[in-house]
Amino acid sequence: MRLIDIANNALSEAKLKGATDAEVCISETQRTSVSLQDNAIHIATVDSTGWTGVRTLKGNSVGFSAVNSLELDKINSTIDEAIGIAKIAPPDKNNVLPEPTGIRWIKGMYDSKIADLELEKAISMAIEMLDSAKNVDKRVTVDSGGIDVIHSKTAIVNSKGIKSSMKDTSLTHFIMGMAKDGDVVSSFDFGFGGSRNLEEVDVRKSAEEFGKNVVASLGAKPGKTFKGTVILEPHALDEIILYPLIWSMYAENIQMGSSRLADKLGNKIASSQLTIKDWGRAPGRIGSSPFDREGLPPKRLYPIYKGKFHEMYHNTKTATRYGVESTGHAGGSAGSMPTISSTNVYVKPGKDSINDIIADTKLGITVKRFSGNIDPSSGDFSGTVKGGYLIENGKRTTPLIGTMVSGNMFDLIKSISGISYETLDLISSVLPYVRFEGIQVSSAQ
Amino acid sequence: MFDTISKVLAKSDGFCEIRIQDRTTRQINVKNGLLHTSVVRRSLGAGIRVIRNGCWGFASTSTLDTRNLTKALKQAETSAIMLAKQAKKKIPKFDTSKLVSVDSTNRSSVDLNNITVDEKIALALSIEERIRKSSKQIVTSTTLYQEYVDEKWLMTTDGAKCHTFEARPQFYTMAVASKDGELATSMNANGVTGGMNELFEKFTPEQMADKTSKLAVDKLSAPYANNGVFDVVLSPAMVGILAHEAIGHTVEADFVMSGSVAQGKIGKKVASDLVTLADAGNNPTRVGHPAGTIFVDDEGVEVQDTVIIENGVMKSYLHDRQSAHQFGVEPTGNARAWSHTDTPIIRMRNTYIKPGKNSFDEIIDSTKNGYYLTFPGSGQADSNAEFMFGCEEIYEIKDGKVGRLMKNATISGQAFDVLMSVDMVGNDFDWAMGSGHCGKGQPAKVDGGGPTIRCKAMIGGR
Repeated sequence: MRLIDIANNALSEAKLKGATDAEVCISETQRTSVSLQDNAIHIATVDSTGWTGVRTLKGNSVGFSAVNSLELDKINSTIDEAIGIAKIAPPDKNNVLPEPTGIRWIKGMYDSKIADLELEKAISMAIEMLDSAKNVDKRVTVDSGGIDVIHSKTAIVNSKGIKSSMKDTSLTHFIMGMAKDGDVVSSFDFGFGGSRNLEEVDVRKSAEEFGKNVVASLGAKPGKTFKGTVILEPHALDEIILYPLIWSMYAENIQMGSSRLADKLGNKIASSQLTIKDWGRAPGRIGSSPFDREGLPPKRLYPIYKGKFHEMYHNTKTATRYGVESTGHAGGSAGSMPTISSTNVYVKPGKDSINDIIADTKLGITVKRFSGNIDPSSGDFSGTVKGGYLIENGKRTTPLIGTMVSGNMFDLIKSISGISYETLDLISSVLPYVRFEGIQVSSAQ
Repeated sequence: MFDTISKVLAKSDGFCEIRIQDRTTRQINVKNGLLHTSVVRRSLGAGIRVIRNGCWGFASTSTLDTRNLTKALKQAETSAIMLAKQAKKKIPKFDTSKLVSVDSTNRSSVDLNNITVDEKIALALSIEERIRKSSKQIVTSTTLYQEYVDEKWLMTTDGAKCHTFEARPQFYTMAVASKDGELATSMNANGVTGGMNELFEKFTPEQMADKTSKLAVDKLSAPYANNGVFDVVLSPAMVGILAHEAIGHTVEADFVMSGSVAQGKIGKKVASDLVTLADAGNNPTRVGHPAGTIFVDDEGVEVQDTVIIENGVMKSYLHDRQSAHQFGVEPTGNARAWSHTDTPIIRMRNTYIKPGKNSFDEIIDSTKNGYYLTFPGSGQADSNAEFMFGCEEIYEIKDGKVGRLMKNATISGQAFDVLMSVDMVGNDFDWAMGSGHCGKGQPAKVDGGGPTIRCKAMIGGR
């Protein structure tokens, strides 16, 4: 039976059992994985997983239950459970289900070459990735990694008339480890990539970059203590800036009072150089989908436009509370209640090359990754620099260890002093290198 | 279940391990007076792992009749055989001496299944209201109740036969306070292996709520800690995360084989003489109800209280069956899988430092200038043992007295250097990191603890 038919049957059952309204989301995933461990291929895995999630309303009270099955009797028990929760849950007038809007297919979501990929090919790709990293330098050691091949089908129906279904494929790869030279061990680093199209997957490139990076970071030393210039590479930009900033623009966090941007919509909150786009229908991207977790198409958003807080992220519940339309950013899987989630995030590139930005920096550091704590409410962050380098007189000099950075994200986004035109694809985002001023850098030395 | 598993195992031509897991997860989340989510998830299925031609294969299924289990067995076998065609390393035959036959069900005095959903929702609502009404400066108040109830059946072709039941509830209280556009957050959390009585044995939910709201309000006017290397006094919760993040991950044998900084350190001095650090599947301390407690691991191996560092000297790594064979030692019962779709990998359980002789007052009195860190945020460690973890609650120490509260800060250092610097170890003990999960490709419930200790580490403030 097709997923959409199973979902429709479950929806009818939920209404018969007394739900005022109901939503059924079903997913079925075929997954083939090959894992790396300790510089060797480790295990091959195949599995098929199905999840059915049922959201029921009794008036404005909501209940949710999920089961890892597509079998009728188990789905019926799940419906009973969801209705049971809705019966005792306190009402909230914003608990409503969305009405249908037009769904359009997105190009590049499905590749039959990935759907039909043989395990033998996935094993060969894992070996190619491992060998490519090891061939960079004999000091490279691979701790873990793997190839994940996924072929999914999803269907969402609700009692307001939403009927959405899709199928998609993806192939992602990941390699993680360090370099070891005698007793000297480098920091962890990783390489990864992924695509919905087999032709675009390049495991060799990711592995070689990983290998070069870990070898280069051998011999790291503590840097200097100063307050000044820091260049965040795309990963660090994602961790220190994007994560707390996007979180602060989720309508739920604004409505709950936990975002510092609560009364800032339409106000300038960042440097005019900063523009952020969220594009959930970008062709062929892993973060793309023709509909969100509630069955609505994701709108193209500009949460930050030339430094202004321009738009917030909504699902149906938060949009109802504000009396606006959902932006189609309900996140989550069939096994979970819809939340709010960004899709493909793009930071608008600048006009300078990263080399020119470094050459223009007298004293500073680059930060490849950040291992630390970020409080998205206050924007305060503090943590250690990973894969960083000291910049002295326009040149990257020493790889860093024992170096911390701290500051406040909301202050930082006002102090941007350079954005590169080069960008890096992090699968869920495409980000440039960004230079900031006034960050506290502390060295253990 | 064992009859079904036995029938499928009989069809296996070589090593096979079948693990059936029935998990119910419940989550109740209240925010600002509204029931945000009340969710129940049921996950039932089998994970089948085999060795064929010296390679691992794995498959899972959520349909537990003999036909589908046999189909999964064949898929796992095919995967292993295909892997073996290209693999250079082959898996040896394992030792079976530590495999067990056990029926262990740790049912609590107040079983979670005997408390209605209404009662759990009422608890989350009333405690959230208590936080919200505690101060006009509280702008966001949140409670989160979560429980995992797991029943597992495990059999292997080489003799393990285990039936276990584990219940793990956790409760979070969170608050955001606001003043003049500035926000300050605080969180309190507890997680155990057991039931409701065990969950609230140490602190009542009301005590958790009161502490959370007060801390958020107090942080609004708190200064930042200074940056630099200081004498730091770590509470049992901070010691737990130090033992887990900074040391524990570096001694997981899979990571050791890949080249972690702990490689080649067995028998070598890696910490102060005052430090004895262990990872226990059970609870040898008889204090509390640590959340990482298991009775047998997911390979059917009996769990141990594994001493990793004894009086400063490294004694053991943490092993599964494969790594133990490669190192020529006995497995330590550290193979764990999160769900039936996951393969067992080497994970910690309850990681701790053993108590010493100093009283808390002695430690504080003798600290001239430093910080007292009491409640951790999240943490991470690196291959070179450089670690970082956040601190939600930190106080300055001046002239032997605990002073002002500081805003959130971060503690960092090279783990073995920090352990070398330990100069006082308290005679107290507590488990205190049972909420949340450890991540290593798949989650795991773990715990950590110890006494109060003093050491030198880098503080990241402002």
